[in-house]
Amino acid sequence: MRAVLSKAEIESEITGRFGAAVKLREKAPAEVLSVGIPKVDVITGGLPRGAITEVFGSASSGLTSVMLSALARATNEKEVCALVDTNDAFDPASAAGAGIVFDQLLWVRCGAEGNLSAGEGNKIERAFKAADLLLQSGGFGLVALDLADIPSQDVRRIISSWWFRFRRAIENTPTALVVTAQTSCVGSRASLAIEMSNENQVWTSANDASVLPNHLHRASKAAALSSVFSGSLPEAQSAHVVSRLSVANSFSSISNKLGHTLLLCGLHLNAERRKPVSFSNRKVCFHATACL
Amino acid sequence: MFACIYGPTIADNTLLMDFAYSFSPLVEGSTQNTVVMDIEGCELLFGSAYELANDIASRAAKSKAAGGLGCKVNVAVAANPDAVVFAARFLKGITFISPGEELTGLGDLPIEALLTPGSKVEGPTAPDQSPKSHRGRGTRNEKKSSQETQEIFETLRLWGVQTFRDFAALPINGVSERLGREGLRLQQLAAGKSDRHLNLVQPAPDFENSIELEHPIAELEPLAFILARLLNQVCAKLHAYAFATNELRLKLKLEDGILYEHNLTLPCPMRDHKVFLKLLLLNTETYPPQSPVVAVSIACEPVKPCVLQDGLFIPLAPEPEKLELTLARLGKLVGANNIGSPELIDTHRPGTFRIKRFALKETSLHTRRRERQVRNSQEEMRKCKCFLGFRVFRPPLPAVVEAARGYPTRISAPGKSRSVMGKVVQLAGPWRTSGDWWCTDSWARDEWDVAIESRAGSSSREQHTGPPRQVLYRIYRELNSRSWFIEGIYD
Repeated sequence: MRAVLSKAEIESEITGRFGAAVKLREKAPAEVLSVGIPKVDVITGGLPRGAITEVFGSASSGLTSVMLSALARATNEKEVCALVDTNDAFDPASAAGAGIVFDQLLWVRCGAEGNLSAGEGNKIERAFKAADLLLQSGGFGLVALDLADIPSQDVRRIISSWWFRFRRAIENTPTALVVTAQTSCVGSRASLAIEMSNENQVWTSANDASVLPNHLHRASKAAALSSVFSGSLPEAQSAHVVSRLSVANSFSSISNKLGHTLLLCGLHLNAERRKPVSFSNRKVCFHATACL
Repeated sequence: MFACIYGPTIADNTLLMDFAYSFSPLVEGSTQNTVVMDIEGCELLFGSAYELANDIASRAAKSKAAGGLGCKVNVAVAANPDAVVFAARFLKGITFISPGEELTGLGDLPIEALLTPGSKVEGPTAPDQSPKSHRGRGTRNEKKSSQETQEIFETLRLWGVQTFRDFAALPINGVSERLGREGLRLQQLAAGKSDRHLNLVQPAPDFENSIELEHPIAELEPLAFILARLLNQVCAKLHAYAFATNELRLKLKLEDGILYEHNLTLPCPMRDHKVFLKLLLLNTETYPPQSPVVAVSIACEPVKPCVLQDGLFIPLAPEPEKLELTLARLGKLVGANNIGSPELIDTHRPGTFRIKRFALKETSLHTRRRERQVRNSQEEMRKCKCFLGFRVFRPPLPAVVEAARGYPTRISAPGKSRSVMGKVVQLAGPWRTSGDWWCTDSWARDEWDVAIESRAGSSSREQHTGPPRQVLYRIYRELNSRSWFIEGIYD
């Protein structure tokens, strides 16, 4: 007797004995929302609707960048989105830079100062209750639950029934739930898990035209920046950006090693698909450009 | 059957209308001092038509305080709304004309009586309800018709026709050939054979409901029953008039005499009493009245309901009623000021924004297309690009920064919930910004982007043992206080 039988052999054996009753049905491909980063979309296939997606990684690993990118993409597609901000860390200015349409975004500040009890445990409890209300209400295209600032030990204490409840609430609905945290907390309840990591930072000298991206070329930097932000940032914000650059340029002649001659150009980030597990390409590196 | 009340001495037609409504809900009051009402089906309440006419006349003679008009009126009852007007206006006292006997009762009236204002009413549409664009044309037509009527009366006088009976006796074909359509209409009026519907005047609907309680209510549950009852009635009335509301006003009179008021403003019109009840209860729970309630009043502003249909290819959005409830519940959970859509403010001051009420926009198809075009172009611009996110520390984390020749070298910011410590391995800055120096809350600061090397791991034990990693922060130094703060983290 053979010790190992192939999957096809087992299936044909069962089908021959019991007929089509036990024939495995092909699962319909899930509808997905784009992450907004083509390379990440390639390895993940997009954020599945009606399921939980977990994005985890340490600080400065690009969790917020991925979340903002997904929200920007979804709100531009006229999806109504919600952000449950556990620690009140959402920055509207950088979100506008990422292209989020604010009219389509509901921001729930669970850790804001106005709240009566802003303790860590209370914040998490409020965030989960808020997420539950949003998911039960229905009609949202993307709900982002931001736990990225919550310490790992607190995240690990979250009872798993919440995740089962969330998964049950969004099953067979067009809502995609994205959870960002420092460590993996959703576990088997997540349909897609992405681990983020920070490869290295890109610091560019303000007068180093060869290293700067094309749109940040020194000669046309100010104009390019103002054109980049003109669609989403108000006039004063873009003026603020240009003033920062002008300071950098004025000091650049002194020395390249001085702090003000450098610009934070962005981060090289790694995204690795942890779930579903398969042998196909599952790791990708992409660049996150800083909104200067 | 129709009844008409004519009070020549009554200056206020509204008074006459109100008096008529006490007998029948179907009232026409398009002419001065005259009201016509449909009394079909009033027999059970007032007896026969003649008894009703007597009742009207006797009650009208009573004083205003007693519910009367304080004067004598003419009352007529007939099967024809025009005939009943002629009878009331030209025959004193109470006149009863049996069906088919109109000419017998009105035959002696002079043909000039046909020029009374009441005889001009045609059809159920009142002149002031017609669209504005047609008003000018209507005035011209009325002037032309008046001239035509004058000519007809001249002709009738030349023919020797003096009374309704004479006019009704003329052959219809001959009148039609010689006097036209208008002549034929006047002859039908004179013969009491005209047929039209009453131009009903509907009383302005009152979307307000109130109740005074025998015993004060101090708990939410019994109050919920009262609110449910009142809301049910208000919403039923809204439904009956095909209206919805986007503003609901709740007034609670408290035992200590204070009036508790709450205005519920909705982003889109709705009329579901269950949703209203939940919203009012959530609000009352959040902001409870200080003393027991002795009277409850609910009023709403009627508006046209939402009729815009979403496109087939527009993504699903939350139902407005459910969304309102969710927002109210979220408001109770995290505070009403902590939910909404963020909005950037046009200022240089860092971290300035405001939160506006979250509401789904109803856009027309044209607007959607235009928005899509704009967004597509923006999307193309951002295509294949990921922008680095920034997480803000609210409030900023006070830090102790070691500096060498003005450049930060080491940062230490211990905190309860988060702490940042480490050596600065890379930095960019300073970016000096300042503003509002003309105000009391001026600001001036130097910003730095710094990379700090710290140990991986979130717990304090792991931070000392894990592998080193670099985290990007934005720090700034307030120039006024010369204090350092960590504004946030690049993520």
